Amino acid sequence: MLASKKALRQSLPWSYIISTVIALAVIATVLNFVNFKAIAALDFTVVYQYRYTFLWAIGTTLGITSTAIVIGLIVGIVLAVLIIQGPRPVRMVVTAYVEIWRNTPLIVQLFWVHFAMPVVTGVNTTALQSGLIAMTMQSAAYLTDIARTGILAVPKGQYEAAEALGLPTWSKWVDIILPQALRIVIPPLATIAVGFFKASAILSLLSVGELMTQTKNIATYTHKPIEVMTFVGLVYWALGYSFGSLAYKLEDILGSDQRARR
Amino acid sequence: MSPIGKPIVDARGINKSFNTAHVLKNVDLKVNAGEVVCIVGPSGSGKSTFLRLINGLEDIDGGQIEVGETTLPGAPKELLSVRRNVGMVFQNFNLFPHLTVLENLTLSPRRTGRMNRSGAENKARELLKRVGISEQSSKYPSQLSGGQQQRVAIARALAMEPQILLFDEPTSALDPENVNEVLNVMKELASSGITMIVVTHEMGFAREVADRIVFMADGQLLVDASPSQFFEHVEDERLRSFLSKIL
Repeated sequence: MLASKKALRQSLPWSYIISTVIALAVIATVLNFVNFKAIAALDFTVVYQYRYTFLWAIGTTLGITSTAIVIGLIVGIVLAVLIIQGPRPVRMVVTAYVEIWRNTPLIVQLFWVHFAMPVVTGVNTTALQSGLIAMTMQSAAYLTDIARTGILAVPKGQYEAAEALGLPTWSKWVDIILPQALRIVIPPLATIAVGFFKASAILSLLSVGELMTQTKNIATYTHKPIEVMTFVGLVYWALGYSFGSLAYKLEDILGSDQRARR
Repeated sequence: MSPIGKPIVDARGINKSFNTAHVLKNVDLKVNAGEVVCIVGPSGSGKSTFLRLINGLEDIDGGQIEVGETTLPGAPKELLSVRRNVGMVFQNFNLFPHLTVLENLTLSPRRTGRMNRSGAENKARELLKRVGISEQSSKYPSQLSGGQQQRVAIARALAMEPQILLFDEPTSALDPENVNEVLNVMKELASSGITMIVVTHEMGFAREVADRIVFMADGQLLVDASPSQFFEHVEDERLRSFLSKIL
């Protein structure tokens, strides 16, 4: 024990020096390749010029994402309850839905809804509607699974207490099980929400009019793709990061009443 | 209250198995209104399972239990009426952690349409006073000690104004210094005339409070006697060896 501590202390300066040298070498190599003239020539005023277009597009993206998550969560909770205690045929149908929509790419689903559905059913949807439908159906599939794990994580004693008190079944779920299950799934729910927020960029393939559609339009029109894409990357990052932090806050606030303060 | 002579709980020929384990074998038990019956016995003897059959937390495999006016096994509607007439106190309290103490007590009376909000809250405050924790009504369960939580759980069971209270080892999960505050509440309840069936290891409590003590071992009900008989005059071999281990 003592000997290994001594060895650690002796080896510390060496590992410190080596890692610093490697880090400096990497930075130097990268800087060597950087064309500073090109960076200086970048013109981010284009962002300001199209600020209203960007704002509108950000709003659209947020709207599509939150609609998909909120409806998906409601549908997901109902489907999760059905998977857990529904009759066998219902469980099979729900499981099939979840596994199909969770394990196929969003882009394929988008084409199913937008191009295959009109052919098969005769129902035509606008690009925005198709995007919303595909995103919502996929988020419902993901959130069914997340809601299911949350529900199963609620201790058995909670079900028993609800039943022993003679609570009606709806109250057992709405008052007792689901509020506790939702608290448990806030972190994975936030991850899914941020994932869908970024995945909504795929809707630009149908020119839905959300952030990535407009970004591509502006980039093409102004011939400044680097500036525009970089800016939009920052926007996605900032919004995604803020949402994630918000979710942690929420988890903290909701969890605090269950944590012992003694 | 049921008429004198007709037991409020009447279990006849109860059998229960979990997979291949036969945990209850032809158990009979009658409990009259107002009686306090303690069920004791080694762990694994089936006493908790038997208690859980009385309010339908487990399904009965054979035999039937009359609880008040209702018979189990029965339709879901009958099960619900039994549960609203039978309160249960669990070993691990099973309070709702996301609700305040007051909400824990008012939820069931409100959701079953028995009382409106203000009526349920008045009743809840009265019950919290009765179990000695009226100051804690806006706290969450995790902010209370184990003994306080169990007293809340007792008050929650009482909020439905049941005729029968079931206790499943109510002090087994408590720190030793919290046991008495819960037992004292139970003693007060026993003297109030409510019917109580208590699975417990607290022999002092059973001796002092019970009208009858029932001994179970290996899924069978072996002894059913008054406390004085139970401790001094019953010559059942398994009871003697059980008592010699825990007294």
